[in-house]
Amino acid sequence: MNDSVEVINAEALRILKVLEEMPFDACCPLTKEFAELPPSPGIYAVKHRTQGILYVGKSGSVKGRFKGGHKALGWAFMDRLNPDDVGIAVVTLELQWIRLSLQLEQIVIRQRLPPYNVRVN
Amino acid sequence: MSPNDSLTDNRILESLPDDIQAAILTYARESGLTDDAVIEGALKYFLELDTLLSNEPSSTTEGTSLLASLPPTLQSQAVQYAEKTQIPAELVIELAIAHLLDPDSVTFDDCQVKVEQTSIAWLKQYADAKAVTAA
Repeated sequence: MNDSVEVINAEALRILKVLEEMPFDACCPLTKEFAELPPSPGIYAVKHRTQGILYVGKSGSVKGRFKGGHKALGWAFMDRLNPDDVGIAVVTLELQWIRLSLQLEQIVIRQRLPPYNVRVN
Repeated sequence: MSPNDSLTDNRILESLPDDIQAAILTYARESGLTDDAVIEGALKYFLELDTLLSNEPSSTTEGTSLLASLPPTLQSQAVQYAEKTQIPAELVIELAIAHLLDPDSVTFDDCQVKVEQTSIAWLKQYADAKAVTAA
């Protein structure tokens, strides 16, 4: 059991590292269709060019999640952030992690406490 | 056959957890679709397919796979998605239904069932499209 907790923690920290270290220019830009986002299960971060991670979430289809509108983008708008300075980083989930997405997401959020997760939860 | 009848048999609905079944029935009532048409709609929504796709009957109801309950074109799209994403084809059904009921979920395990107005609105458009096709 301890082993599995450690393995989940390690994977969550790996995901956080990828999300944090992804260069802003490699993030998906905000568009109407979010065509660059994967229509697959993943953990994502809404990032600002200089402020870093604003929000972390998960979805069975990251693309579908954003096409339906997203509260984090509403917060960014309310904060008068320039949409060109906001992007989305994604780590897609392999099969073995799909049923552990909630645990992974919660560990990532606890580690980073993204401002919009704190605001909306 | 009425415009909102589905060609998916009800084995999929019967296989779902009770709370998910109850949610599907609520969405069916809200959208004017049958419960099985809501499941078809969930797959089309998730796979980003044309709402008018695959109105032909299911190929078989004798197979053991739940996918066999779906119309052939929908089955084939689900299998293609599964191959591309490297997940079991049957898991696509769970991902699709969970996404319709709670876009912040991945599977039924973390699905917080609620009435998603965006999903209801999409299902109503789907019901209208089916009605136009059937007319």
